[in-house]
Amino acid sequence: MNMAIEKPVNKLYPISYFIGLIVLSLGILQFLPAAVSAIYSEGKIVAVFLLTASITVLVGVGMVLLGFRYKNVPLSFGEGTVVASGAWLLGTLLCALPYSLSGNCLSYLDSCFDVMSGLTTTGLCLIQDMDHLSNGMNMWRHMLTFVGGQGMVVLALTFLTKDQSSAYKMYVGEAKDEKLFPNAVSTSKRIWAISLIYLAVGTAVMTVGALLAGLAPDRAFLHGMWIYMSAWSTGGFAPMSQNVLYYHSAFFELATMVFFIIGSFNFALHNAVLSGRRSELRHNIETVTFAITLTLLTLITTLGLMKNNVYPNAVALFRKGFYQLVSGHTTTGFMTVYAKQFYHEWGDIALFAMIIAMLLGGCACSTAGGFKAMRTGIIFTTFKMEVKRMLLPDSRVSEQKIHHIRDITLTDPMIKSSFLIVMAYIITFSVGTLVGMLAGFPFGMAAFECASATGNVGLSIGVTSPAMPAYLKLTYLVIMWLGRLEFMSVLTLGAYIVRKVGRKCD
Amino acid sequence: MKKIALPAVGVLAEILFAIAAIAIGLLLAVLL
Repeated sequence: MNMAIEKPVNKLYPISYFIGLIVLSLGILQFLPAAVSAIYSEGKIVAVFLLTASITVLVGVGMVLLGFRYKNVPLSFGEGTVVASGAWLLGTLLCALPYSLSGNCLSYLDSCFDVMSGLTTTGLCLIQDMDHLSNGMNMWRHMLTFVGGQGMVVLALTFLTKDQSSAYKMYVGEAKDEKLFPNAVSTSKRIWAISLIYLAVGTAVMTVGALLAGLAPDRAFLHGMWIYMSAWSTGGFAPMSQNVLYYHSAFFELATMVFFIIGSFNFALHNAVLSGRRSELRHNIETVTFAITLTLLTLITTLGLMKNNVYPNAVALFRKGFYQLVSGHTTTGFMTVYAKQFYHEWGDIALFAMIIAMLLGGCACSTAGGFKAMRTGIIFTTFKMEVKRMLLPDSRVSEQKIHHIRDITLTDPMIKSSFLIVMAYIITFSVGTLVGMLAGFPFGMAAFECASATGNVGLSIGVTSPAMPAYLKLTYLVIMWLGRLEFMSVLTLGAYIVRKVGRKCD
Repeated sequence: MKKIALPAVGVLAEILFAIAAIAIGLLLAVLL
C-alpha cells in the first residue's frame, strides 16, 4: 500500500496570512486621512500618510504572500485568538507611525499609547497640542477609534476575506462571541451595515449640533462626524483638548449621550431591534441590567455631589455629574469637566460611583468595555438562583433563565466564564492601581485612571500626561489591550510565543 | 442575508430607549 506521509503545516503560515489581511486593511484605511489632508493642503501630513500607508500595505502584502499557500489550513480556536491579538499588537505598532512621523507625539511609546487607546476605544491621550492638530491626523485618530469599536478582525472579514473555516475563531478572539448569522463573515458584514446606518444618522445630527454651536460649515461637518464616530465607538476622542466641554452646547451633550448609550448596545440587540423585534429593548438582560446599575449609580453620584455642594442646580448636576457618569458607564470617556475637577471637587463618594460605573461597562459584543452588562446580569442572576435554591427542598431542581434575544437557560460554564473574566478585570485593575501608586499618585487618582484604562473608558483624573513615567504608560497600554480583548486572546498569544521560543531553544 | 426591516423605526426605538435612560438622570437631579 502506498501511503504518503504529509508533513504537518507550520501554523505560523496561515496565522501570517490572516494577520497580513488585517494589516493590509489598516494600510488601505490610511489613504483616507491622506485624502483629507490633501483637501486641506496639509502637505507634510499627506506625505506622512502616503509613506506609512505604503509601509503598512507592504508589510500586510508580505505577510499574506508568506502564508498564501496555507490560507485554507484550518486554525484551532487558540490559533484564531493568536491571529486576533497578534493583529492588534502589530496593527498598533504600524498605525503609530503617522503619529510618530508627524511629530505630534513626543516618543514612539506615546504614539503607540494613543493608537492603542484609539483602537481599544479608550480615549486617553498623550498627543501634543491637540487644539492645532491637522485635519488628517484628527481623521486618523477618529477612524482608529471607529474601526477599533467594530473590531479589526470584523473589518478584515467584512471586506477582504471569504474564508469561512477560521473566520469564527478569529472573530471570537476579538471578544465578539455573538453570531448574528450562522457564519462570522455575514455577521461581520451586518455589524458594519448597522454601524454605517448609524454613521449617516449620527453625522447628520452632530453636524447640525456643531453648526448650532457656531462652527463654520466644513468644520461643523468634520467635528460632527468625528464626535459621532467617537460616541458610537464609545471611544472618547474629540478634536479639541477640552473634549465635549469645548462646544458649550446642551444639544451637543444630549446628542452625544444618546449616541454613546446606543453605541454601548450589543450588536445582536441592534440586529434584533433593527429587524423589527423592538420589545427586545425592554426584556434583554443587558438593557435591564444597564438600567438598574445606571439608576443606582446615578443616585450615589448625585448624593455624593450634593453632599459636597459641587453644582448649584439640577441642570448643572445633570450636565456635569450625570453626563460624566453615563460617559463612564458606557465606557465612552467624553468629558464636560476638566480632569482635575474630579479629584479636587467631586469628593470620594462620587468618584467611587464613577470607578464602579467604569468597571461595569456597557454590553457584551458591543464597542464598549468593562465587565459587560451580560456578565453583571449573569452574576446577579446566579446569586438570586443560589438564594432561591437554599429555600427549596433538596429534591427540587431549579433552573434559571435569562433573556438575550431568546430565553437561555443559565448553565455552569456560562457562570464560570462570567466570574473568570470579571475576576481577571478586578486583578488587572488592582495591579494597575498599584503601579499608579508606585508612580507617586494617590490611591483615588491611581484607581480612577486605572479603572478608566481597564474598562476602555478614557475619562482622566489627570494622571495620563506625556510626563508620566514610561513604565506607567506601558502598563496602561497593556491594560487597555487586555481589557479590550478580554484577556484570554492576549494570554494565549503570550503562551504561544513562549512555546514557540521554548521549542527553538530546545 | 436577511434584510434589515424598518431600520428607521428600529433606530427611533433605540433613540427613545437612550432618551429614557437619560431621563433617569434628569429626574434624579431634579428630585434630589
